[in-house]
Amino acid sequence: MSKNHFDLNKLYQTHKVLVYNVALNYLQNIEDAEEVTQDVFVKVYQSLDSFKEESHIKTWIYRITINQSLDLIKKKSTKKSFFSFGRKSENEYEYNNSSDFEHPGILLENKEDAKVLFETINTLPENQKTAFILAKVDGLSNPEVAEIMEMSISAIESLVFRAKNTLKEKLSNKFEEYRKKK
Amino acid sequence: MKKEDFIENILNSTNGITKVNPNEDLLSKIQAKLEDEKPAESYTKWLVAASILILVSLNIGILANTKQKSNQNHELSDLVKTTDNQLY
Repeated sequence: MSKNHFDLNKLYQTHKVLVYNVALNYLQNIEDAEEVTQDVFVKVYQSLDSFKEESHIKTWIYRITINQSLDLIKKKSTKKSFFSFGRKSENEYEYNNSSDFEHPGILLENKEDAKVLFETINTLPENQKTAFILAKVDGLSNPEVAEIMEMSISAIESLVFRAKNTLKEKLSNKFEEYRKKK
Repeated sequence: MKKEDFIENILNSTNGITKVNPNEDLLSKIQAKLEDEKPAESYTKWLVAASILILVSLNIGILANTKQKSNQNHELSDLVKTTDNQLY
C-alpha cells in the first residue's frame, strides 16, 4: 500500500479515537497515551509501504498501538528497576502510573471503583491484561481480539476467563483490606 | 457491603465507558515529528553516499599508486637483468 492512498490527516481522523483510547486504557496516563498516539501514527505512516493488506488496517493499527504501549511500559519499568532493589511484582512490567488516574471516559458514579479496577488490571500478566482490556474495556468481540492478538478464539476465551479469575482473587484480598480499614 | 458485591461493582465499573477524543493539537505534533525525521533521513543517505564515494576514490588512488610503483620496480629489475653483474 502506498502513502498516496492515505493522507495523514484522513488516517488520523479515522483512527485517532481507537489509538488514543487503547493507549489510555493500557497506560492510564494522559501524557503517555498522547505520546504513544503520536508514535503510533508516525510509525503507521512510515510503514504504510510495507503494509501487506494481509490483515485489516484497523487490526494492524491495534497491534502497533499495543506494542508501542507495551514498549513504553517496559522502558519506564526498566528505568525504575535500575535504581530499585527488592521484591519484583508478579507481572515483571507492572505499571504503577494508575494510582491517581481517573479515566475521563468512566461514568462519574463508577470513578472510584474503576480506579481500583485499573490498578488491579496492571498486576495481570501481559497477555491476560491485553485480552481483558480489549474484550472488557474496549468492548471488542472475542474473534476481533483473537485476530489482533493472532491467537485462536478459544485461547482468547481462556485468557479472559483467567484474567477475570485473577482479578476476582486480587479484589477479594483488597476487600479484606478495605474491611479492616472500616 | 458483601464481598461479592464489592468485586462485581469493581469489575462492572467500566460499563458505560465512553470513548475519549485526544487533544486537538496532536495531529500537528505528529506532522512536526514526521517533518523532523525527513531531513535527518536524507542527510544520513547523503552521508553514506559521500562516505562510499570517498572510500572508492581512496581505493582507486592507492591502486593506481601501487601499480605505478610496481612498474618502476619492474624497470629497475629489468635493468639489473640486462647487466651481467661484472665489475670492470
